[in-house]
Amino acid sequence: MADLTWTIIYTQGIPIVGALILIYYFATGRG
Amino acid sequence: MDKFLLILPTIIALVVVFGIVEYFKRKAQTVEGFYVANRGVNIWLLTGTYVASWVSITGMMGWSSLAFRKGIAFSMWTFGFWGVLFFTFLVGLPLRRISKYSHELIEESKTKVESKELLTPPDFFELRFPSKWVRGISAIMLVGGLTFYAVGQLIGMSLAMSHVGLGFGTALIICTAVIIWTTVRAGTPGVIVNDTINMFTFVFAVFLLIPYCLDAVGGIGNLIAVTEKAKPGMWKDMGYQNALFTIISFNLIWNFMTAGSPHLVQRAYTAKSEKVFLKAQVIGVFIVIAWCWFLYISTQAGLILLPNLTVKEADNLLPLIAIKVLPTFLAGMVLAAIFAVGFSTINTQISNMAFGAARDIYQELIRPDVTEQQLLKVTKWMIAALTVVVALFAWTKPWFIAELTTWGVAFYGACFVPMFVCGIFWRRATTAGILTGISAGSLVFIILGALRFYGAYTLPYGIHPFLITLPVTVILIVVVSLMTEQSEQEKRVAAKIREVIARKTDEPTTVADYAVPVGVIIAALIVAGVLYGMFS
Repeated sequence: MADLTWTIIYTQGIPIVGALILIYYFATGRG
Repeated sequence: MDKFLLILPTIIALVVVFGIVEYFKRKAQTVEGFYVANRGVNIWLLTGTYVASWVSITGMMGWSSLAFRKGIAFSMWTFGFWGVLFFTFLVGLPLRRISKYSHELIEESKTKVESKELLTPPDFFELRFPSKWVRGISAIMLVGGLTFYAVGQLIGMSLAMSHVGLGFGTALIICTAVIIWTTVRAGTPGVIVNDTINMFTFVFAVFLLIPYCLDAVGGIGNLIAVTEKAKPGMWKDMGYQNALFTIISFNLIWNFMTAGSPHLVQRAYTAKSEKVFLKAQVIGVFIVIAWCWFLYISTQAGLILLPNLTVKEADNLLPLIAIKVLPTFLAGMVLAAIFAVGFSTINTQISNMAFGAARDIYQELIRPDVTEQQLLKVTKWMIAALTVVVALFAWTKPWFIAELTTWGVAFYGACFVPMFVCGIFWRRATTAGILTGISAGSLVFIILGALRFYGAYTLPYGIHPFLITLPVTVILIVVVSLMTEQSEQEKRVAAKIREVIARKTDEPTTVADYAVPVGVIIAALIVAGVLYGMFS
């Protein structure tokens, strides 16, 4: 009955993207 | 007895708040201590203060009510989630870095920022765009916008306290006194520690609420089945009877506001290091998202438990549900959490309003020769005076407060965000461009808002004035900047800022630093898995 697939992708994707950018910052010595 | 048990957690919360400020007042004896906690805030406290400032009464009470009326997805799409990342990597981090090297910058620019430190957002604006007008306009926007935002918080806090039997007026006076005393006493150091404790209170309260709520409605399956039947779409991606355009508007407004709100921007100056700032943001955004899911799923139980709740009363949904499903003491904890949420947002806002009024308006525009102790004194008086102003507004409970709040803070999205991004990343942006952009942007915003307020003209398709103002501001900044020349000083500072931003950090990353991002990724995937299990 419920279908919140895109909402879940939107919300959970955001911390994941944030963490990946953070890894990029660390790996390139910028953060 | 019941009433005492209900109010007890709020009393405990108040005692803790007062204890904290007494302990931390020693760290707020200098301007740098009082304003930016000596730039030494560690990862846990920084996470706590950001989470506590993002999550306001609006998020806890207002969006519970939105989820109740428009479906859970509506609130989840609205929240400023990507705004946090946008803020972190395009505004907060560069500002933290610039404040670290401000000595180099200010020496070159010859602007007079006392003690060569960046303490408030307008400090950065005047550094990059050397003009008293830039500082003046942005400081007035800062103080004015936050005032309206704070009024909403104070009304919410006082309403929450009225559930334990206090009158609205009495609750308002108590809240005002607590805010003034605690903020004057220990400044930013006290605010930050209290925020962190408040964060634990409201996160814990919501985690406590969900099993009771689901139990009361016969489980999540039953809740979904019953409510989907009554209001189709409540548990779907678009929510109940929402236009795609409305969802997109809300999403853009809140995200840009998150990225430009001065009380969030100013916190970047307090971080111990860039690394601490970055990690705190990523942990913080994860906590807020998980918290939102828990809260809005819980409050949907109101659809079954409180079938006769009117739209007007829906803002009280959370306390009503808590009192209905939880044992008295635990319901009192939820009320204490509402107090904690409001308190931890408003103390940050009030202190930033006072910093704007004392530092940016009084010191920089009226009395440049003020001493450090005098500035501290003026700041404290400003805290008291501005809190009273906010309380007087709150006392009248103006019906247009929601409108005013959105106007107030949408200024930040439409004007502060372009000022930060152009100031940091676009070397060619000129003072004339910025002044034209923000003046015209503010004017358009006020005119459209006033026309809507008096019912003379409303933009078609429910477009919010913000969506017109932002492009107007950006286009004017770009066009006028390209048409005007920079002074030598502007050129130097702009080039230097770009150089500072592009530098590699002098604090090498260790393997242990990767634990935070990897941990967040794993935790976010686990939460996603659980949510898929429940909702698809």
